Amino acid sequence: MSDQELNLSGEEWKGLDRDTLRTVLASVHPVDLAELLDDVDLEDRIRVFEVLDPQVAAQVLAAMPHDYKVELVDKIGEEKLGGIIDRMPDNAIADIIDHLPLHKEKRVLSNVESEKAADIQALRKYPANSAGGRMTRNFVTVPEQATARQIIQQIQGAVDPHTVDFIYVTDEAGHLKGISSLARLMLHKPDEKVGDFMRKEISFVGPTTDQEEVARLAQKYRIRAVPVVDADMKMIGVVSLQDIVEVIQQEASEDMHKMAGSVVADSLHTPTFQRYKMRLPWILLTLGGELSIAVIISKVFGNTLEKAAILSAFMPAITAAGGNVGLQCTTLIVRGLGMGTIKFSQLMRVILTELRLGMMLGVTCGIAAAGAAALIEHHHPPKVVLKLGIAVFLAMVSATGATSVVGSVEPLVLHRFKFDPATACGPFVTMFNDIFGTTVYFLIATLLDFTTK
Amino acid sequence: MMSEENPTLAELLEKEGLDRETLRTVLASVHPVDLAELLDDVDLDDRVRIFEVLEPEVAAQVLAAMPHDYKVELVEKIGEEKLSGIIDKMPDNAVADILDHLPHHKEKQVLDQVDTNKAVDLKVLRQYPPNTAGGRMTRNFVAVPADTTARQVIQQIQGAVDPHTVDFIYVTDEQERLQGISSLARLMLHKPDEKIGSFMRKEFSVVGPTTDQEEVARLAQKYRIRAVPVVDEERKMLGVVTLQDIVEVIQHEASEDMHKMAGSFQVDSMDTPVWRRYSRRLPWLLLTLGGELVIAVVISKVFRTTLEKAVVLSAFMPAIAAAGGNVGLQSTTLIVRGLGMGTIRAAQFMKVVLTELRLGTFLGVTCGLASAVIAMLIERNHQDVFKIGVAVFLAMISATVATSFGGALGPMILHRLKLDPATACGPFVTMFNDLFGTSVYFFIASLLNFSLPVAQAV
Repeated sequence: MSDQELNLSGEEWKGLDRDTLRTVLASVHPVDLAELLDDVDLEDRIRVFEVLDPQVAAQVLAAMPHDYKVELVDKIGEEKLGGIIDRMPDNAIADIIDHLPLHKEKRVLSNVESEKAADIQALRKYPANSAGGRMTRNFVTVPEQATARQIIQQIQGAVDPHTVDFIYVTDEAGHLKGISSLARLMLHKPDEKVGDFMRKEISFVGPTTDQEEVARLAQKYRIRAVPVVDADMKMIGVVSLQDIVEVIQQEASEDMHKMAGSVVADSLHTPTFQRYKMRLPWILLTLGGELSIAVIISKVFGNTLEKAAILSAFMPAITAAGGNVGLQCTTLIVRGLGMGTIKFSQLMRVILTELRLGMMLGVTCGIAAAGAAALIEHHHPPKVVLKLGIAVFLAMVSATGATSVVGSVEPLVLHRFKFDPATACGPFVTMFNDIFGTTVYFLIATLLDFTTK
Repeated sequence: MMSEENPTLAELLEKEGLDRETLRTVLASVHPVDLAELLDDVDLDDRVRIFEVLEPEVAAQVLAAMPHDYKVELVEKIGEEKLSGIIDKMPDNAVADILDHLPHHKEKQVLDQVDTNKAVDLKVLRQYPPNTAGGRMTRNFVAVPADTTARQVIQQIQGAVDPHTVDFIYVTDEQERLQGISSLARLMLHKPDEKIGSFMRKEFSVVGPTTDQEEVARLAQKYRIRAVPVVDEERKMLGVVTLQDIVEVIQHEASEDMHKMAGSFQVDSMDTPVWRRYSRRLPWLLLTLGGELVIAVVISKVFRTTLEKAVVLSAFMPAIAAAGGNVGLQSTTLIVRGLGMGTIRAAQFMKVVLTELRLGTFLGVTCGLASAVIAMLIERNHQDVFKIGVAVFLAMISATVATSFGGALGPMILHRLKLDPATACGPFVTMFNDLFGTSVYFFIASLLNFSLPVAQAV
């Protein structure tokens, strides 16, 4: 919607004085403003930031792509930056600092009050993709004896109203004992003690728990904020559902790109050469496998091929059918592992189900392809046509059957050995299928003593 | 996870003389979601038996976490009285979801049990398809007039049925039109006699009841909204889609994109009967198989002489097809995901396609050089070794360039035509690539005019 209201890529807005510019910008949602800033250069971005309210600037900054964010933080005036940082949640600041050069890092931290600085340092101890790296330290804890009235008074003094949807009840040593939502709190009389109505059965994670695991837990048990505790059950932070949504999206993107043998990349903001390096390895590696087919055909089946060159016309159909069926299996398994709905213990069941389905699809495709092959090559003697049909049919069935198994086992095994199951499944399944399908095809043709001469 | 260490539920149920009380005590220690998972492994009779002893509140949660097929089966078997207790404890959108899957007579029976207010809510929800904002929303929200004080709002909340949905207070005028929103937390920051109209947020995003759930999810993520209000054309408040439901939507849409890309019609699952899975997957396989067989026609009818002169050419077909196919799949994945997440905008279409084209060319040149060299090594004794290298190199570059372009453009065109950009991209890219790559390969080879094989060197 903002696109029609304001266009920063033009020149007109540069003539506006600070106050008019501020008024114009105030009508745009910070997230949309971040998107508009995509189309202008660094200088213009600074110009816009200089007139923004710190509160709005903080939101715009949070919504920007990483590269710009760091560049911009580098250039914004000291005082302005202090105001913006002050309005940002601790985990968003930690995220920015992680990408700044060391001397800049100090500059940002010096703008933050000491308590928040301690929180930020606590977050930065953990990897960015762990519960500890994702959590916020901004949460409300109360003792069990606190009454509903006292808690409400305490909340009214909290800095950030975003993070008080849940109240964490701890004992004197800071151990997590129970949780109450703010809404539940309201349902009780002002002098009731939270210890009497808090929920005592709670799910929690450790600071080093992988973010994917946190997301799975939150979804499975429909938790809106996952508490993070240390080894002694002391409360150290909270991962909110909004951050979990980001994790889910990030993990799904990662799975999809990895399956295609690539890496998640912002296509318009990442230099082409860097993306080239991300994509090339799996393509080259599997290209090696594909070229080994050339060796097999040319050295092992050279004779068969010379006798019946037409065999090669059906290679693409055989490899495509097998490859597609394999990709379908792999997708199912990778996604199931990612969502936590498929486990390694189901290996045998997975193999059997996928093999059965793969064979059914293979037989259907095989019959169709054999029929088509017989029609295309109908001018040959009936015996030759029959042999061609048999070779195409058998090769297609074996290729789809084999890739169904390999396509579903590969991700499960990678997962079992703690690798990402999505890794390069696509190119790998294609390669395996091409080698297997082509070899079987020519092997059968050789056995049938196929010849058109 | 905890459940795996316990004795299996089936074992427990087989114990002689297990009375209702003991069963209830044992079950009370299991989280409803885990219990739903455990029920996966027992038969319908045992499921009914367990439901009979569960507290309605817990039973409602277990039911909500069960797979659809079981859910409907079970609802049909549970006793009348028990069922109405459970339904009473379920959120309206979960009940609507179950009703949508029940046979007509059972549906009436369930509806007879709910109180009139809830029945009205259910009717509103069920007007809209399940994958729209209207189908996903809950009617359980708190709406107050603008002159309500903070104290009055809190009193009203204390009377609300379901504390899950009062995180936000919706401020409406006399015509029920949405005027503003305040979170419960924000409300607490104000004095008891302050009017909500003076501190509510007036700029907020809304959706219509027929807005696609994917669009609702994108909006919620982009603007970090924790509950999206649904309003009609007159801005009358109809319901709220919560972030928890949005998480489900996001997961579902990502799964759908992935499965559709691989050429399956819907989200595939191992629990689905194999015939249904077969019919979901087959159409695109057969369709693209048709395309692949066109290659056979092209080779056989157009390039037959070229092939017979140099059969060895066919040995490199898989490498050419695979390189092009893989590069194309990478481009397609990037675009489908970008469109799904809303990070690629319509205005950027051309820029994105050109970037992919450039990258595809770089990758193609690298792969082409590598394969040409290897091809020449493998065929070093062939009389036309140099021509083989040239044909492999040129074919590989053309295939990768064409598929990175086609692989990026395809989903964008589908998106423009308001079709799902993920539809069968994988098989389609493979087919396009195989057709194009193989034709170019043999076309180049025929231009290079390979010599006739020397009197059978083999």
